[in-house]
Amino acid sequence: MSSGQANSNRKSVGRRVIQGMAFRCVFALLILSTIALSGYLVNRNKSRLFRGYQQLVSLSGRQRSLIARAGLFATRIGQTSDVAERQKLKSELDELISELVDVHGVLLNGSDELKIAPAPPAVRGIFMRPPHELDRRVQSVVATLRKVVGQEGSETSDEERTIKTAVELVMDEQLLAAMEAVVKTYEVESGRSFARIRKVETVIALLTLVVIVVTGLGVFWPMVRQVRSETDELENFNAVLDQRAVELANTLQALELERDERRSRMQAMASVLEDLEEERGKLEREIQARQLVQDALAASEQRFYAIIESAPTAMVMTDNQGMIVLVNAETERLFGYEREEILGEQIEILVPERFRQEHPESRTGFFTSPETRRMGVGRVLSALRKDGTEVPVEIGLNPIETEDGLFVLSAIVDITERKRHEEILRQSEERVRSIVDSALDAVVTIDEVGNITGWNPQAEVVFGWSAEEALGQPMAKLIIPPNWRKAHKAGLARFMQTGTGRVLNQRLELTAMRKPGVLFPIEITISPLRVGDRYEFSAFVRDITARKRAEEEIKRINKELQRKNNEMQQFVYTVSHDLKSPLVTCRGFVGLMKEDAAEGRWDDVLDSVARIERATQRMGDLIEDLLQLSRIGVIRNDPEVVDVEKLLGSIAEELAERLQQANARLEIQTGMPTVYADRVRLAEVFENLLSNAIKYGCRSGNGCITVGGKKADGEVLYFVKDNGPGIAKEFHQKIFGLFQRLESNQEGTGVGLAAVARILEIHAGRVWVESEAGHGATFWIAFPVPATADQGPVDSEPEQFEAVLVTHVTSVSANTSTT
Amino acid sequence: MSPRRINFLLVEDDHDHAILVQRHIDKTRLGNVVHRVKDGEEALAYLRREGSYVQSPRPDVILLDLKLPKYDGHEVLAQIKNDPDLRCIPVIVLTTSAAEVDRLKAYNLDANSYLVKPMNHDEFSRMIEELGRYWGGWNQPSEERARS
Repeated sequence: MSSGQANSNRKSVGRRVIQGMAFRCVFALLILSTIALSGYLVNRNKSRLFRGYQQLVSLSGRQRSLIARAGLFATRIGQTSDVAERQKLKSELDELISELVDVHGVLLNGSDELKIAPAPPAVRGIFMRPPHELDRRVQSVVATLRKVVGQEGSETSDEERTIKTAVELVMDEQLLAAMEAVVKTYEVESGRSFARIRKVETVIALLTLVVIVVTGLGVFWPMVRQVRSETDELENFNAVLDQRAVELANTLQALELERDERRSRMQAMASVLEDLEEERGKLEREIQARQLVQDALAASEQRFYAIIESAPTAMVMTDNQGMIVLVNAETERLFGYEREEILGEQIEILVPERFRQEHPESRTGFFTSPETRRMGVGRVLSALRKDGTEVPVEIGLNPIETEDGLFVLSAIVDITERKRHEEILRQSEERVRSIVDSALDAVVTIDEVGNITGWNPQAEVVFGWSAEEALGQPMAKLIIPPNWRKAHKAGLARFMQTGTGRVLNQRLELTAMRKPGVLFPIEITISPLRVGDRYEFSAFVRDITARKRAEEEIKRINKELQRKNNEMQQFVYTVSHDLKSPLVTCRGFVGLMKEDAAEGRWDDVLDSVARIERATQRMGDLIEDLLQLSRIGVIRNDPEVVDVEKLLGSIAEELAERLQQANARLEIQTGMPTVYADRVRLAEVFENLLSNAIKYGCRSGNGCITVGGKKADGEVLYFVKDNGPGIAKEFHQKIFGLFQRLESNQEGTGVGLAAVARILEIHAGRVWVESEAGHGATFWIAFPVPATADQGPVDSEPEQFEAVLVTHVTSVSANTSTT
Repeated sequence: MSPRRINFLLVEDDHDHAILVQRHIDKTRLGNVVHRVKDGEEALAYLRREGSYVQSPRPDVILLDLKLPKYDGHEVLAQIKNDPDLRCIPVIVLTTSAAEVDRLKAYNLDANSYLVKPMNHDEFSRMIEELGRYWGGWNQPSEERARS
């Protein structure tokens, strides 16, 4: 059996099966839809029946209620006497009646509007036939009620009767029973209908079941059978196909084997061909290489000549006989010859005459042991130009071995320009050196590790070390004070590491050390210098001892001036105030005097005159004392050794009269020390102190003044002591101020103690008072004892200044150990 | 009704100046100098009724010179103004000094007024008269307070 036949067979069988199944399915669906449609119709009928029944029951109920309400209205009409009320009730009753008539009509005859069918025969019987005769009874009720409505103005008894009749009719048992029967009948009717419909439904359900079973058997069972037979047929066909596939595979294998054999034979042939090709390529390359070598040789020679020609130095090639065989353009330029002029000439044509003699010899010497002599290795030579001038040159020699023998290629460099630069450089260096050497500052240079590389003559002067001693030494050891060496070293290391330094390129004031280890202040500027790939540091150092000294002096003088200025201001202020005071007195009393004179009070006038006189006197005293005070310090007498005992003796004589007046005694101790001071001022001091003692200390009448002196702690001390009332402690300072007085009624201007204080100040001494109220007062004066006999206290400034300087120097070099 | 004559305490070391002030005050008939003291110590003793001043009347106004022996005027002023009993007595500084430092110092110490002694006689008269009128009128209520 062929596969084509089997295929068409299968296709026709499939089509048949599908057609049969479709037909059966359509048939089954038609039956099912018919059953469903009939079910729907039955159901619709059932619901319509149910709705009609409901409407009838409600209408019947409505009829009953209308009748009952009509009876009620009739009763109320009978009971009401008010005409209007009755009228109203009657009209309402009328409406009830018409509605009752309508409902009754519908119940009996049905209504299209309400979709109610006419009453069935059983119901109709109730309406028309005895025993119920519902229709009649309703009609009589309606008529009676209409009568009630229609009776107007007739006799009341009539009316009452009518109403009574109506009520009776309404309440009639028969009527109610009839209406009841209607409803019941409807119930029975509808129950029957429902039973019928249920039967129909059951029939339909059964039919459906039957149809489903029939469909299952008739439609699906043949389908299953058909599919099974188809599958069996396909399985058979598959087995046949497998068998044929195996046959085909065997045939294919045989073919492949044959193909492989042919391929290997072809490969063998190809490799033979390749070998042949390779052989040919080798031969070709060999030919090419030979050609290249030939070309390269030619090019190399050309290149050699081109290089020589274009070289920036003069190149001259000679043979072993000294004959020039090759020159370049630069040679022509340098020597001024045309090429043709010197080719073939002896090399000596280019050598100055004075060397010409020995040149061939040295030339032959070179040829016996030829080796390359580099430029600059030989000494500076001279070459002769065509015009006869000489030019300084450097010559390099290269022996060249060729097939034709040994040649020498000389490179000749004109070094005129270089020599000129060297000369300029030399001069510049010399100039710098002479500047440094003649500088007034010490110039010191050090290398990266701190060793001295430069030391100019002024450095020798400032630091005391000669250049021979200093050069090559570590600078720190020589001129930096020990305490700062560590910092110096650290600073140097920091600079080498970071390239920055705190002390570089600025003017600093430091302390340096000179030869025997003496410290002194310097001003210094350090700059790093880049020399090639290394650093050097140069320092300009100036000894500023003298300047420091001068600065200190200026500071001191400034301070002194400031103090003097303040003093002067205070002085002017005080003086103006105190001088004004007597002036106020004078002018005030002059004014009073005028008035008094005008009014003839002559006693008062005289009194005023006396006061004015005293005031002017006082003013005179003040001015005199001030002049005295101002002379202190301006007029200086040379200090001398003063015998104080002697001095006091003469003062005592002068004061004798005043002492007597005050009944006071003066005791002068013996063996008092002498003092080196201004004799005149010293006398003033004692005069003032003694005068004060008499004035304030001896008022009691038996005053005693003691004067004495001693040496203690580098001072010469003197005292003036009285046994007067003393001075309270709070005034001990005040009394030395200008114009300060403790009492107003005593004579005196308040200048005396101020003058004493000033004199002692000038002598660098001190003055103070020791006293307690009621126990007298002791005034002390103290003079410093000079260090040597020939240095008086007046000239003590230099010593003081030294002291100031020393403190300053140590403060500047705070961590310097003074050696 | 004219104001009551006022009582001045005059603190003045210069006797002549004291007489000048007193005569000008007498001339104006506006006040009395109840007392004159020569230095600061005495002034404070008077005001505090110490020693011989137990019975001394309280002044209405203090006229204070600055340049005084022992304690100077500024010190006296400071003492008065730091004393709760004396603080309310007006203190008028009357001095020859026209220096700014003195003036500032006085006002900083709560001086009530600062007058420079005039050179001119008429000016002196006018100054004292104005002083009497001003402080005479001003002082009445404080006097009442002081008594109560």
